[in-house]
Amino acid sequence: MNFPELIQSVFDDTLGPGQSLSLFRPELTLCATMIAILLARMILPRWKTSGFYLVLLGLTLALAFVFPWRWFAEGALPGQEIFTGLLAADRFSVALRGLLLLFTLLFVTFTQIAGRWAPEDGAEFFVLLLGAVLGMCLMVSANHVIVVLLGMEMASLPCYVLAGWQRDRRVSSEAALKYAVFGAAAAGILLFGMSLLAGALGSVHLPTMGRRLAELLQAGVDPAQLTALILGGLMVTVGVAFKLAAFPFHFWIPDVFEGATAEVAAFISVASKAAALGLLVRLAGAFVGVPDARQFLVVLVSLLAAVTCTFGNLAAYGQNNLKRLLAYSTIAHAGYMMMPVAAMIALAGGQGSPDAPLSEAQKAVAALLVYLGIYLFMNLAAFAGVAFMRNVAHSEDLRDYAGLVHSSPGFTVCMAIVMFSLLGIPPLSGFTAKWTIFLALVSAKLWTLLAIGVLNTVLSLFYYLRVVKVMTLDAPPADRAAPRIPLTSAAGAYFAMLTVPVVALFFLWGGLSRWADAAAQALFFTTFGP
Amino acid sequence: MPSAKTLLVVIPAMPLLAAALTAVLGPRLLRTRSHWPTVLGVAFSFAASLLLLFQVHQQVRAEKNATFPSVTLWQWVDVDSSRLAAARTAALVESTAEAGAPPAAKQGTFSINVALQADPLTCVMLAVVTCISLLVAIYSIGYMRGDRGYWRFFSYIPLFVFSMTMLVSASNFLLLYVFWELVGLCSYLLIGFWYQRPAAAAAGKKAFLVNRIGDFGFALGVFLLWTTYGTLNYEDLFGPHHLPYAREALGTAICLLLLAGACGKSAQFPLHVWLPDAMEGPSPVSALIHAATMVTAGVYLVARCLPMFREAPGVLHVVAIIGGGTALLGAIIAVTQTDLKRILAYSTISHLGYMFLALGTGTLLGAVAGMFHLVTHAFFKSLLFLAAGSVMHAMGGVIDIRRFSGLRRRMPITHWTFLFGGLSMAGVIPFAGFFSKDAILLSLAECSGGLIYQTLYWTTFGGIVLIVLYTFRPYFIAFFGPEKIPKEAGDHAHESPRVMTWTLVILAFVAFSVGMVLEWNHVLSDFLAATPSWTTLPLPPAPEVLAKEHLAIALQSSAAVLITLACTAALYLGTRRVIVARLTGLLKLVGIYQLSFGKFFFDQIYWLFIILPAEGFAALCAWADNHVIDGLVNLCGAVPRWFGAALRPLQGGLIQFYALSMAIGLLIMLFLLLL
Amino acid sequence: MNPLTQPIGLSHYLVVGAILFVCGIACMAAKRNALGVLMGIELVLNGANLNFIAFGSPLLRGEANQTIGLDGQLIALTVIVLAAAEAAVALAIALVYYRTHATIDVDRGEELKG
Repeated sequence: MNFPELIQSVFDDTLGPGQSLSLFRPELTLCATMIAILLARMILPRWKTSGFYLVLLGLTLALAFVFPWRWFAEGALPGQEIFTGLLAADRFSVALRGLLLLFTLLFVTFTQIAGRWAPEDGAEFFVLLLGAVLGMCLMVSANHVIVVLLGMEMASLPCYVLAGWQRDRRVSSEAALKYAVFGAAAAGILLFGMSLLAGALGSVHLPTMGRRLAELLQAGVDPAQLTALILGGLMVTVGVAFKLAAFPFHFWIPDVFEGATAEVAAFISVASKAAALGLLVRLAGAFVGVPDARQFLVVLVSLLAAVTCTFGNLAAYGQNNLKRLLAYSTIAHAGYMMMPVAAMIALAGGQGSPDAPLSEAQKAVAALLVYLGIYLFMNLAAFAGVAFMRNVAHSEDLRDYAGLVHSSPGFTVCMAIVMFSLLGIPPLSGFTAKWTIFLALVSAKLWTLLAIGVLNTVLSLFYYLRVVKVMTLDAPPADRAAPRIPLTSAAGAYFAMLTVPVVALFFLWGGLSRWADAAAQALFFTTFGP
Repeated sequence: MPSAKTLLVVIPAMPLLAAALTAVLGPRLLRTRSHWPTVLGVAFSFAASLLLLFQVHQQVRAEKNATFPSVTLWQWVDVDSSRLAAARTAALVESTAEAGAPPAAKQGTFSINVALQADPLTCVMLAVVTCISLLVAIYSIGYMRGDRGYWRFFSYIPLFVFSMTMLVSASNFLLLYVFWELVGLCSYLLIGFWYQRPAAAAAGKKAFLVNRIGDFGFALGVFLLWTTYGTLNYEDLFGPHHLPYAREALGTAICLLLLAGACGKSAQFPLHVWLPDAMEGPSPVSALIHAATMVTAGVYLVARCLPMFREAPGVLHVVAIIGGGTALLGAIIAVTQTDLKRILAYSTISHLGYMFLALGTGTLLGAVAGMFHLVTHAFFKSLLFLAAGSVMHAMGGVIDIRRFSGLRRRMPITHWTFLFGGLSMAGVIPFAGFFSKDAILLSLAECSGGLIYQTLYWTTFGGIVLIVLYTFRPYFIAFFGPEKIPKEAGDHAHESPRVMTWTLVILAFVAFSVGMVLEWNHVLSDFLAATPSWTTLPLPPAPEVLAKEHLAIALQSSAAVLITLACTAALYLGTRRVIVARLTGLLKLVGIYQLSFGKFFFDQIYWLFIILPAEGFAALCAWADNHVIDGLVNLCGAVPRWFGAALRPLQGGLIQFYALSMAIGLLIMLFLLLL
Repeated sequence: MNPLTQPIGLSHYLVVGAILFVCGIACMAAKRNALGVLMGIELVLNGANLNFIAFGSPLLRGEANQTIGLDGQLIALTVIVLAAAEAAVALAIALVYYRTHATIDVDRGEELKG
């Protein structure tokens, strides 16, 4: 192939019938929005709306691009590689990007209502935010080592800055520094692991890597290569576990959440987790075809899930800072969300083609998507509640929530709904989420993990209920005015609006699971070996 | 013209909207205007119900096997789990191996739809429910005026209408169960409407608890339905191509459990004790919920499941005996009571018993007669209750018939409308009650069920005499004789406001004419016979044979009614009270009077055998809860807290330590892998 | 066989990369100064880069179908850019940290714990 031909083929792949670029429109829109905000700020320096409406427009457009609903019709978008194999474009990536963008849309509104920074900072905040979302979108559709690295770094770097957004607060800068150092170290380790894996397998294209591994294991592998593979695999696990906040790579989460604003914590807690899980599914999905790798991965992910979940729930006891409590709850939920991934790996045996009905493994992925879809609303709502309370009571301490029911009953009811949903009590969507992932564990016969998951749900009862108890039963402190958040204020209305899906998704269970099934159906599994 | 599907959604939606609107705007904005959303919303659904009835009727007349409108609002749960299905198949094989008959259950999916449907049975129920609700809502404008909970009342009523319309139009058992509970909740809220009065609060609790017993059975029945047939949809269970029913023990168990729910809601023996106490609620509530609509939900359920009940051996006999027994029991108690509303409550129990009895024949004739009686009863009983409410309104809350008399001059309209209701209930030709009562008698006479039905026929016939007695005894005492007004009445012992009397007049007109209208040309029976689930019921004999039989029964019963009416009038009009006292003395000697007056001592028996042991057990449980369970719960909470406290130093804030633990974690993973 | 006497091959590069990686990790864990920690991270990234380039070279690898080819060099270039971005962000954060704490010792930040 000579040079002009090469150029021509790249050109065709990008703009031609393969239409890589058209499937990439959401990301392009995000880039355009970022540039537009920066330009607007340069041309109109006194522009006080800080680009909020621009962001809103951009995100809505991106969401519209990512969600051509016809893709969810039977058989549409069966899954293909775009940009010469760099990205995977299937319904799974569509669904996850949709969730991410929907979350960002809600989140931007939330920061606009709750944010307490100078208006001229707003533009930078939004640019960083959109940059992070762009990176996350790349993570969930990664099909190539280079995109994995690029996506992870693009998602992480803006988050470091966002964590240190309140420049004058000591804790804020401490949180940012810890996050940055940790994140960079984890990225370095992941990169080194990737280099070992790529070298040992002789490829950087994830599905090809999986295929090579199968060939290698069949042909027999020499000890040096095996060491490189194991070390590389573990290092990659460390990198992903860091993003997921799996024990013992979770240490940054509580510190960062406490130091950063509740808004940023919400963003990291939901979007970053969703992207990391998407990446985990992609990485694991590339190697599940190999029986040996599958056994290894099941043990690894199950173990991480169980330990993370249990640790998060135990450590949440006795926390008095609500943001810190939610940080540990986030860790616990990351554990729950790794459970369906373990189930997916265990179930990925052989079958699974775009046309076939859902395989068991794809159902496990669907369970993960259901969980993510519900988690998005309830966790955002929980952090939104914390942020609104901070604006009114200037405190994130649980003690200052005492007797809140007397001064802001509507707010308290919504907060209680969110807490009950995080716990997973039946008439709320949190129950749907837990039920779905436990069902996936049942079909994967991961009984130990199931028992740990159920036990953990019981464990978490106490600290979620404690929040509700403090808000309703404890007497309000006499030495200060009771904080008031009427549901008619912008904050209260936004909060109430977020609790609607928390309740409604329980009743729209069928729709949600159908959507998740459709998204998981065309997930591309490399299949080889028995 | 709106489509049937739209109407089906609009009928429950409008009251729901009204309930929400009143609940939100009532306390601040609407206040004394709180009735407007309710009246408008319910009127709208009444109109929609009539339209729907008309459409479905057209459909029935146009084609023989019409498919009736149904609408799926959304799919609530749709879990396709082959594992669940496999487990269920295994269970099914076992259970059917025991039961003998293999019902072919639908496999594979656990899907519940929130779906509504309108077959003739539903349409009739919808029309009756919304019509009575509308009239009662209008009546309440006058009755509840000035009450502190005015807006509260008018947000409960449409909520009830919503629940009731959803109950009768639900198309599967789960949805039915949800709204079954919701009407129970509304009933609880409205019985205890004046919750400051201890008696009202206690009555609310009693109704709720007694209903729980029945509902527990109902829930078990639904579970059993699900495990047996794998579906809860009416379409699969009662449709033209329904699953074969389980016979033997399994089928009987399902039907009896469902019947338990029906008995609780419809106040049938032995769960009838809550209904008389429920009269503590406002009179419009008694008329709407505890006479005309909610209590007939049990009848509706049995009517809906009738083909299934037929297939299960022995169940129909149970239905008929419970119905007949309750009818007689209620009638005997009603004869001696002195509280006007309680007399009516016991008569409601008795009439619901007749409906069960008619359904218990298991024939098309019986089913239609039961529903016919449901319709006429709804009108004349709500009329009687509203008239009694009007009396109560004027007497300042006094409802004991020993304390007032001779009201016919002061309250002419109430008097006349009460008379119309009474004549209709007593079954005097040509009032509505006459036709439906004769239909029940006819269905019993035509039923070839053997000695049981023969006995029940004569019991019913005897009951008719009692109906006349207990209807006209309070009528003559309250409205005739020398004028006597209790002092609670003060200066408002006069006719009720016009909004109330007009409703009474309308209802009186309907209670007079509805029987003739529905009987004319067999409109109702032909319409109801098209209900999909009823097409398998045994058909009545040829019309000529039937007509002859009908005439004989009509003559016999009319003779009995008129003679008793004359005797009652002779006894209670004028100064022949001595004879009454002598007769009472005679009955007291036999002991029947005490039994009747003491309501057969059911409350006392239940107190001794159920409440007392339950309270003892509850005290024991409370002790265990305080000393054992609390300790365990505290331990459960404390252990993780200790663990949590032990873990906290891990998060020491030092970045180097974090890095160290990361490295250790990596090493542990490596170690585990090499193991 | 003594690697020091062998002609330079793939394993030599890998050994250097591994040494860089270990030095970097040690530097990250041991240094208290934030700049030192950042330098450690750079070392780790460079170690990985060296690996990628070595794996991508057909000259070192021999068997052509096992090499990752140009991809290795592309990744290395990308990582250099990413490392620069990361350094910029981390240095900016360190500057803010210095403003509030008057030091850049990472272990002085211990307000967040528990």
